[in-house]
Amino acid sequence: MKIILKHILKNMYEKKLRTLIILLTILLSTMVLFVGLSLNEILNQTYATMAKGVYGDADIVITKQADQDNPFYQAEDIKLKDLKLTNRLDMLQVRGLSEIDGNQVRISLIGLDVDAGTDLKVIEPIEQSNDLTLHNQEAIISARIAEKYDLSIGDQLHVNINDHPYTFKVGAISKSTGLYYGEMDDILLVVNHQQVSDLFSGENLVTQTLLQADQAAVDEIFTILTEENSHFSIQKVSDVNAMSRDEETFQTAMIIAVVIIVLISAYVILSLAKVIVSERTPTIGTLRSVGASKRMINRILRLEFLVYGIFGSILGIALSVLFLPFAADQFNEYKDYGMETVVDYNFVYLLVAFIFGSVFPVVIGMFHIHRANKKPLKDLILNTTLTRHEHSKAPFVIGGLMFIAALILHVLNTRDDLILASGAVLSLFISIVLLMPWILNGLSRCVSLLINRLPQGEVKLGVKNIANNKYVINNTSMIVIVFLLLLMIGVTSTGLDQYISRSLKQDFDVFVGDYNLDFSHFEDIGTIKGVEEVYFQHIGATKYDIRGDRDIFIVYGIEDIEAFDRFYSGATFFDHAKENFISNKSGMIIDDYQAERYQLEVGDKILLEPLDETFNPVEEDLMLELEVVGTMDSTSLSTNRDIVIVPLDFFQAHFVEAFNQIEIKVSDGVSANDVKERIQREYPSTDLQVLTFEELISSQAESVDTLIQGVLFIILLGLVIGLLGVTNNLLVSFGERKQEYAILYSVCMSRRQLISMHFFEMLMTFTSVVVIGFVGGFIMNMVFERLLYAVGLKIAFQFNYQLFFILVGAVFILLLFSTLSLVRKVRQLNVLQELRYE
Amino acid sequence: MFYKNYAMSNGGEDKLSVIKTEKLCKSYQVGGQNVPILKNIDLQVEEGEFVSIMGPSGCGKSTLLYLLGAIDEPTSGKVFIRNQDVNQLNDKEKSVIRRREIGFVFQFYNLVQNLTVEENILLPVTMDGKKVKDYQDSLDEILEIVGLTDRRKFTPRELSGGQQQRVAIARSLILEPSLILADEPIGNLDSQSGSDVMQLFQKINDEKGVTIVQVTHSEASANMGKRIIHMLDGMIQSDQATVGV
Repeated sequence: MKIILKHILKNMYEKKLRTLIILLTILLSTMVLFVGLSLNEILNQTYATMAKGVYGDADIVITKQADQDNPFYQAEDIKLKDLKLTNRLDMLQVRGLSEIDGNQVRISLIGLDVDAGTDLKVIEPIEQSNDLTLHNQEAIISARIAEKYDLSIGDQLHVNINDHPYTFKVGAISKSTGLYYGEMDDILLVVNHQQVSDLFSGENLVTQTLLQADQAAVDEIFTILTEENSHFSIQKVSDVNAMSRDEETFQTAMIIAVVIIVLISAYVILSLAKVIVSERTPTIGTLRSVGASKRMINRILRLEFLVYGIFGSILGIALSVLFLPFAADQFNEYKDYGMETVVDYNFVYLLVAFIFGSVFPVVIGMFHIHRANKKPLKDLILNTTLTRHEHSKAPFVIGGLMFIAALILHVLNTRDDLILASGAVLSLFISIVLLMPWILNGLSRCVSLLINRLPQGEVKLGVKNIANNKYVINNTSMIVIVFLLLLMIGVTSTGLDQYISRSLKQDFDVFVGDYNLDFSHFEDIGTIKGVEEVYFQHIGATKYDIRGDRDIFIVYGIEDIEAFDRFYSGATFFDHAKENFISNKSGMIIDDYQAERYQLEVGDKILLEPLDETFNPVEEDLMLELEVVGTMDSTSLSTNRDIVIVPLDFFQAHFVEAFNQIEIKVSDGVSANDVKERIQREYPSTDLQVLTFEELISSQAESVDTLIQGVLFIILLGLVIGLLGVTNNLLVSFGERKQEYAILYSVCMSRRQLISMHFFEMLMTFTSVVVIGFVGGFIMNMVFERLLYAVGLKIAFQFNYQLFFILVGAVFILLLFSTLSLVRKVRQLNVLQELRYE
Repeated sequence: MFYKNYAMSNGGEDKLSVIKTEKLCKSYQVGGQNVPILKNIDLQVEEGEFVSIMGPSGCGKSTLLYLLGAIDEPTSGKVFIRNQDVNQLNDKEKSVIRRREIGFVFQFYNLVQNLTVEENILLPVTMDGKKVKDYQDSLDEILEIVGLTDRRKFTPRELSGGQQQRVAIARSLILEPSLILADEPIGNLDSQSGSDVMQLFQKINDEKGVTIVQVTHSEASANMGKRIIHMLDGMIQSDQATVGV
């Protein structure tokens, strides 16, 4: 076995370029798989750390209940009984505005006891003036803000709070952790509690209390506090949810990108495996002639691929470990706010990636290994393998059946089922691979008919070779497959780009939201200066059951559908949906995408199970039957197209108003930002989310932009792998065809004619890529779109013409260089050496 | 001594049949037509014989040799090696016979280019799952016999044609097979190298009693054996002992 291993290592060393390509392919696949698996968890961990980190070492957070009129309370209002606590921190927060470097900046002023805050690690001063007591209007700022605005100890900040001017001096600079994790677009000034209390006429008010206790006692303390303090919202820090991110979209895009990279790698390795096994044929023959059995040969060839796999995956893992922090940083939206990415290396993912990388080339190579061993021993020994491609009927039949299967699965998949959609895409991909030689044969015949009358034999031979010569077929097939796969990635990235920015229509300027938002506290929101129109949107959630299929709808309770339609101009109602809605007190309007998906018509009934804010059933076994009275296009409200509309009375009787929102249109000429700030001053609850429309979509758009960057990076990787594979194929095929060229030269062709023949082969290759890429790309686009629908990206995916032409251009340049390099090689070809004498 | 002496294993007159064929036929399908290559070949080769098969191109001599070596399969008929019908065996059993009972020498040497001389010679040992270190003495002796001791660390690319063929012969001997089949062993060599190789065959046959069956175009090398079979159009035309050289 040592001899065989030495033989394998020597083979790898001798064919350096090919070895490099295979190792690179495995390396990139392993790396992309590991990073793809790890990223989601890392980001979740990072955001959870951030969410919890705001509270430092505290175990329990206390605020007033959201339904209370007044978010303020006195410290002694909290009934602590005789609970043993390690630490307590009462904080009072108020908002204001400041102007720095000519820009208006929002200020959050938090008053607290500095020592207690430092003990709890909600502030960690790293630079401070003498004994830090925060008297005399001193404030602590974060290191991030200090750097951003070039502030240092002693600098002054002028803040306007409730139309009164105040001046604070920078007394200390803290690490950008703890409370400063919550410092997004505003500046957080931490001051002495008394200073903020003085703004409220000296009353010792509190807006939030943090408690620290012995870990073993936290649960008990939490229970007692909850029982004794019904007006307060009491939460364990360990239960605090991380900031919401579009995890599903992220994971989906990662999975698709990883799968496509793996497919490209698989195809490249498959193609290179064919060449490797073909090259090994004489050695296989020799080994068989000295008594190696077929099983031994299989093992030896598998060992070679395993060696590639192990080397490649070790390199891949090593690179992944280095690259992961960088990749995670790119996706960390809060990096700029001081949130360091929490990179944790999951051993299971490392192992999965390593095993995948090691075994992947073995599995891919098996096809050619078994095929080679099936050849008659005599042919192996005498190496009588032909360059002529034999058109076996089996791949044609199987490919044809898979193509039909793909179309059938696509047509049957009316409900955007993930399994059917995946099956359709895979079947289509495999059918294209299997039918490729036949498609090329067909193209060759068509063109041959057209050029039949041409006298130049080398032209006709070049055209025929695309159907008959296995090396040319192999090269062309690889280029087409990589082309199609990259096109699909392009479709995905274009779709992601449209996902947020173009789908959501701006029907409002300012958004106000919170869990279980009680509208009665916001009745006079319309009187705020600059507010033109207000819409109180009652929103809940429900689980539906349609012919056994279960998922979640978002329920809107509407009192006046005409008013709704006027306010949300982006939503479109079809046929008599509105009239039917008015006349039917328990009817519902659903999105036409869902109606099509489930073949629902007006009059059909579906079952709904109301859910609370945690998406759990409100009542066990409570199912409501509602009648479909019409359809709408709700894309402008939600790209998931999962909104249903029911009458408000019915909604309030049966559903929980868990996700209420207030949407506001501002008057002409008024800044949405100004209105937002007025609302924040009017309703100073820290839990209330008040955002402009741009802010609402920008955070989602940012994460999508980052995702698109990631996907584009994957395209680049795929392009690198594909190009390397194609380049190697083109290089190797010349080596394999030298004898063919030598024979042609010796019997009938000049060197110029050989070059001309090759030129027309390349021209046919280019034509095939364009034709198959275009037609195949369209069909793939159609089938692939359903897959993307199935994973939640429910928008129209367009064929990416820009990418198509870019890829066509890349193929043209590649083939041009290949032809030019061949000119030199044919000129230098030693014909005598290549011809074989007996 | 590394090689068991087959010449002494059986008394002298009552020799064991190493190879026997019964109504051996081989034909190919070419464009729907059945083209016969071998027609009812009945052949027997005794232990210790040195047989040369001659005939014009296309007469089926190489085909016959590959059938004898269980490399190809007959259309009909049987091939016995030491009374064992090889075509009843599965692939694994055939490979054992090819390792242990037969040594094959090809016209174009069929060496593994990136292994050294000694590694090429030891390939059958590796394939048989045996330890290479147990064959070091045999290796040294074979290298001495074929005259390549100084070149044991060379790769085939660094050897002449004749030297490569001697490596192939050494490889065929390492597991001490009782039979060597050679397809045009000197077809690719100059006359001196060819003569050296044939003398080596003669030595192996005379001193070790190894049965040799070769296919050759060369009268001279055929006459170095003890029996010549002439073939024509897939049939044995004549089968006679050689006149002593």
